[in-house]
Amino acid sequence: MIERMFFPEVHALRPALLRVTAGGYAFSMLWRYGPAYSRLAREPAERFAPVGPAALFSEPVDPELFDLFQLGTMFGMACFVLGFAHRLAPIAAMMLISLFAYRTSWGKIYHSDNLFCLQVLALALTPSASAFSVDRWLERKGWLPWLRWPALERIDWRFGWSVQLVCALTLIAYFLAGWAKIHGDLGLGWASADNLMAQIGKNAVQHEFLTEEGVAMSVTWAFQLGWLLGPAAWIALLVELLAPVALIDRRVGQVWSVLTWCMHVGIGLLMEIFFWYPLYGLAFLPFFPVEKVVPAAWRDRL
Amino acid sequence: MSRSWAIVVNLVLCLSALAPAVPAVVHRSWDSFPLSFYPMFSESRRETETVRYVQVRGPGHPPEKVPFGYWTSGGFNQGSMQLRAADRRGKEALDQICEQIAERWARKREPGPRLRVEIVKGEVNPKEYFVDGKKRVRSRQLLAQCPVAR
Repeated sequence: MIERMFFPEVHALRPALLRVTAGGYAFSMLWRYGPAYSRLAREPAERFAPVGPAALFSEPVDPELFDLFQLGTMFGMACFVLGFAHRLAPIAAMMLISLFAYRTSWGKIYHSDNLFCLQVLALALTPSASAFSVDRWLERKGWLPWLRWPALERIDWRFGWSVQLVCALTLIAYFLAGWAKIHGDLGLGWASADNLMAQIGKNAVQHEFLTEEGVAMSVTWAFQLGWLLGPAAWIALLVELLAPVALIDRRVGQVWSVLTWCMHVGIGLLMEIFFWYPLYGLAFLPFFPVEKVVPAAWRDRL
Repeated sequence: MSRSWAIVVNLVLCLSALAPAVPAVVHRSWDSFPLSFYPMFSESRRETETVRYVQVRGPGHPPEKVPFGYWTSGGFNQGSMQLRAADRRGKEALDQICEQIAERWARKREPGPRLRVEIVKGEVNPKEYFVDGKKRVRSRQLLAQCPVAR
């Protein structure tokens, strides 16, 4: 069972496609929000509250240095997505994690970036560039072997290891979120309509007073249809606490992915908090045989 | 790459990801990145919520809410946490944010005569505010104010 859970034999294309989606998302975040992160790095020093790798610094770094680091991270992510020099991918992954740790070191720790950073790290440490990659092309040529993973069979346990590690880290994140809820003052009482309404209310107040657009109509509906929130709260809590079960069986993992995606849709509608990586479905791709989008005749060519 | 090495990598990464649960038990306010115990929505809520917000007002200019973009490049949650942190640090920190907002307001908007930026703290009952339509802020407290320069 351990063998099936952690080292199933899988086609090289599966972790490769996950590399492209997770790395692509990370790159798009840097591309789109890079200017905002640069502005953040120029905020007054007294707002700096470093966490994670950023805790190495007691005060903000030179903003120009930050910009340079950000460019370097974008370059690293581009190489990661293209599957070039995958032996050096862990460096790019650590740069990504360090950058997002720095960006979340200004008074509020965001929890929307952890998942794709951890997935990128897992894919960087495992052979996820043995297909659909520059390294694959180099492998055929026999060039630069010291920059890439050694050649493997098209279907190998190492590719399954890559995918299952990504799944495990994803499930741990959701399990901890559920554990944090029941570990709080309310315990299992967290899963009640009253509590969920209170959580929505707290977020709605901040939104109303601090944003230009104010709060959405769906919040008012949530208060008026309060009784529906009881079952929703229970489903959310169970989806999180039972997340580890999703690793036991592939179909359970897929059902769990759909339920968790629905939970994120609910959070988006009722609280206007959008965890885009899961909402786009990218966070849950590891639970599906994504290589099947490629016609079978092409899979071994890529 | 042997299975033994793969198992070591799995154990290191998974145990590291689980590790935040330990300090979280001891220090509930602990959190980090990328290792976190994801405490979102886990705190119990009171009937009223404390909110710190910013408004601009003056003669002939009714109170106008100032969105978070005037003092942070992060999201609205970060804007909220920064106001809270400034409140904890004291008047000097609040005055600093106030002046920053006033300066940006003067640059972006047409500043009218004798406009001032106010950082306010109050209590809001969400149900009362959003469902019953009683849009009031209780226990209003002026934390800082500063003029918008023309």
